[in-house]
Amino acid sequence: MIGHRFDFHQPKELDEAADLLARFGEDASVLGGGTMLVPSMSANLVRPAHLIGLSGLGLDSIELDGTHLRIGAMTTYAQLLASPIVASHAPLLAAMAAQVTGGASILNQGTLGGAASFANPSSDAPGCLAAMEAVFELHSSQGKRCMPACDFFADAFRTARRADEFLTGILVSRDATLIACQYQKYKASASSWPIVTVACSLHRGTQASVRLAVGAAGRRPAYHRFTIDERSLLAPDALIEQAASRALNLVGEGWNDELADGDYRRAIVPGVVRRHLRTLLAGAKA
Amino acid sequence: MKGTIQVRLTLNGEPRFADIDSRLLLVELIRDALDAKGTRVGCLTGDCGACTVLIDGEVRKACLVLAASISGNDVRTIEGIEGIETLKEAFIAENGFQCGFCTSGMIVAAADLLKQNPLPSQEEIRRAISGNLCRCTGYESIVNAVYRAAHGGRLSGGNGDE
Repeated sequence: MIGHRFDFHQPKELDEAADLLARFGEDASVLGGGTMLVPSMSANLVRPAHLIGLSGLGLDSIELDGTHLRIGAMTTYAQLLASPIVASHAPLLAAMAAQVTGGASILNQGTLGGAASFANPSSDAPGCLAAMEAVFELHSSQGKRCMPACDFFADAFRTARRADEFLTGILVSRDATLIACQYQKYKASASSWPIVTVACSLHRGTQASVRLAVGAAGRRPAYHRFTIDERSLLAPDALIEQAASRALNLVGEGWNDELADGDYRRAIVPGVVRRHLRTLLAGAKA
Repeated sequence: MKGTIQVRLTLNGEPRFADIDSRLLLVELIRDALDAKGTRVGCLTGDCGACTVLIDGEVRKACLVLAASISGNDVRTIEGIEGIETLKEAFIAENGFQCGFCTSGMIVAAADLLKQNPLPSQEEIRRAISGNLCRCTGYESIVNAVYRAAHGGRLSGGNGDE
């Protein structure tokens, strides 16, 4: 049993949830799927006076409109994997979800919004969502605001979400320019949290570009969009070297945890960036 | 919400009610309040899978669920999952357990796999039980047992651990 006493709230309406957070703010924790928060409370590592569960709000829909794919914050990894909309409009996200560890029980319970809000550097979702230039939809009693991934992921285990806000959805632009994408995590063993993740995609619109995000290596995802000359795709070595060194600079201070220290993570980055960009761009020459 | 709350659920096909402390986990509700001891308390961190149950037909870890969040759900534990006789016999035939602590969770996870994929490959079996730890490290026998239950015979190609 969880050691400390808390009030458990299960609002049925967005406004009710917003009012609770406006009242309790820093004294409240927001409960998503529970895969991190519930065990943290069992271990007395997190001791909120109020726990606000989002499961009654119907935030698990995946919708497509003319411009965006919108994924409700409580959408589980299993729902992402089962969605034909995600498969065709967000293949990078589908590839990430397919590599989440922990078995069917975690896929059924862990939520994309929860993983993003927890912002564990050594996890899958932040890097992938950064590479997708996802936008985060935050609700409070003052209304709704939308924030790009580069601002949302503020630091290790910290997002730009205010204490009176909760995440309701994640928006991804529909993108007809996407040619190819890759997601791969590097980990110490089959069930390990990632040591480094690479998410990259190639886009061909009026201007060709490569989006690259390295996760788990630093305190927050390292993301850059490289605008490229079509001709450079014919001999992409210089571009790949430039991206590998840029990615390492963006990683900055390496992330240390019990799985790997920061120097080790940084040492891996250039090699895996080269590997994935080579594969990504190899298909683009034709 | 007050310190004591009433929860209502269907446990293994039977409607049940309990007045519980709101700090209780689902696995504790099942074992302590409702006295179904087949589900184990292992790590309480969501890693080991000893507490694996079905909630509304989906495999879940009962240590990651607050009992207070259960509201009329259909919960099934090792005691109430139908059609697992073949799996049980295969676990015995293949020595799919040593101390037995992980076994109920393994069988719940394996039964869920076989329901969705009646003829899984060895790789698919490994993935399906990847949320379940066996600290006796008897994984080869467990994978063989699930394979035998599905295919009616041993894994070919020398994948046994003898």
